[in-house]
Amino acid sequence: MSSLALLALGSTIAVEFLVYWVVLRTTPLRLFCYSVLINTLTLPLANFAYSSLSLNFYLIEGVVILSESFLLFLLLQKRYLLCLLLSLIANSITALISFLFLPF
Amino acid sequence: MISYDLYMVEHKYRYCDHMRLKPTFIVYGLVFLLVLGTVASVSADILMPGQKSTSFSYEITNMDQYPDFVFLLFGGPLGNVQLLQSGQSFTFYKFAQPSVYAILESKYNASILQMNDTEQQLFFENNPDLVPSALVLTAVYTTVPEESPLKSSKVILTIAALNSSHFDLQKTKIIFTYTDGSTEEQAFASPDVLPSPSRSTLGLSWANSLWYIVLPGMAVCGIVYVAVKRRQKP
Repeated sequence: MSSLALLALGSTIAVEFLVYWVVLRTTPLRLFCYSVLINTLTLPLANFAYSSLSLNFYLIEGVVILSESFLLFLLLQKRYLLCLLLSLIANSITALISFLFLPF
Repeated sequence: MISYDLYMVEHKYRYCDHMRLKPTFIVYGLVFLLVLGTVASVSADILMPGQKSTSFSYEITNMDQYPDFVFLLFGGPLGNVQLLQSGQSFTFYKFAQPSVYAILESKYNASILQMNDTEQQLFFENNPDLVPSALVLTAVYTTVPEESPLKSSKVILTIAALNSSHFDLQKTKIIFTYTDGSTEEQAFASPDVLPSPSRSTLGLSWANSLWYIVLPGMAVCGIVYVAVKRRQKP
């Protein structure tokens, strides 16, 4: 685990929380906790799948989007399609940010 | 705009049991995916957390045995022509797959080095004086786990045969340099099988154990706890 990994985790949690909050407009603290829980689970595993197992990026991103949508569905107890769209938007934004800012 | 639309969707959901997402929202999602997919084509170029970069190079050991020839490296992407010098190592963009070309010194024109990309491409496609080697060079060990002591890798090439129509270039060995300054040489058993550094890192350090096991484990416990609590609420 490096400072870069922690930065990636922190920024992902922050960005996904913002997406959840902007869309849902419910208790920010609760949404932040959900973002922490979800990303603390998915980011290290996705990182492992990419860097150690060398799995395809699209496959990993797809699995992450589906996993997070299911976790959001569990935690938020909203309609699944909404959770899926939330997950899709949040992960698209974080992926784009990582492409822009991570070192080449 | 998307967020606002989704907010409206959520707003409707509170009052309507049969809320359906408008097709436009799905289109927005697909556009996001398309943009992501386009940008993701360069994803392999990103240094991921838990990895570090190491340098690589190649060197041709016996160029001085062929004084009548000039050796050039060429092949994209982002690979301009390099004039190879005897006794000097060379490197290239890590996603390039260049080859080494030989040309008789009497037919070599140094202006090739000043040409733009298109002109260089044409020069290499339409020049009967160039003798290409069949060996395609690739980057080696550009990223390794952070815990790996590997610092750099150098592949040693040897010219097995060269004349005006045939150029046989072979990989002979690879030299690994570690962060403590020590080196290790390994011979190529086959050109397609890249030897591995013996001091590569296996197993998980405490930091990686925390990152890959402890944090996700704690998250699972938290999610299960919250989900159960929420379901217990009336």
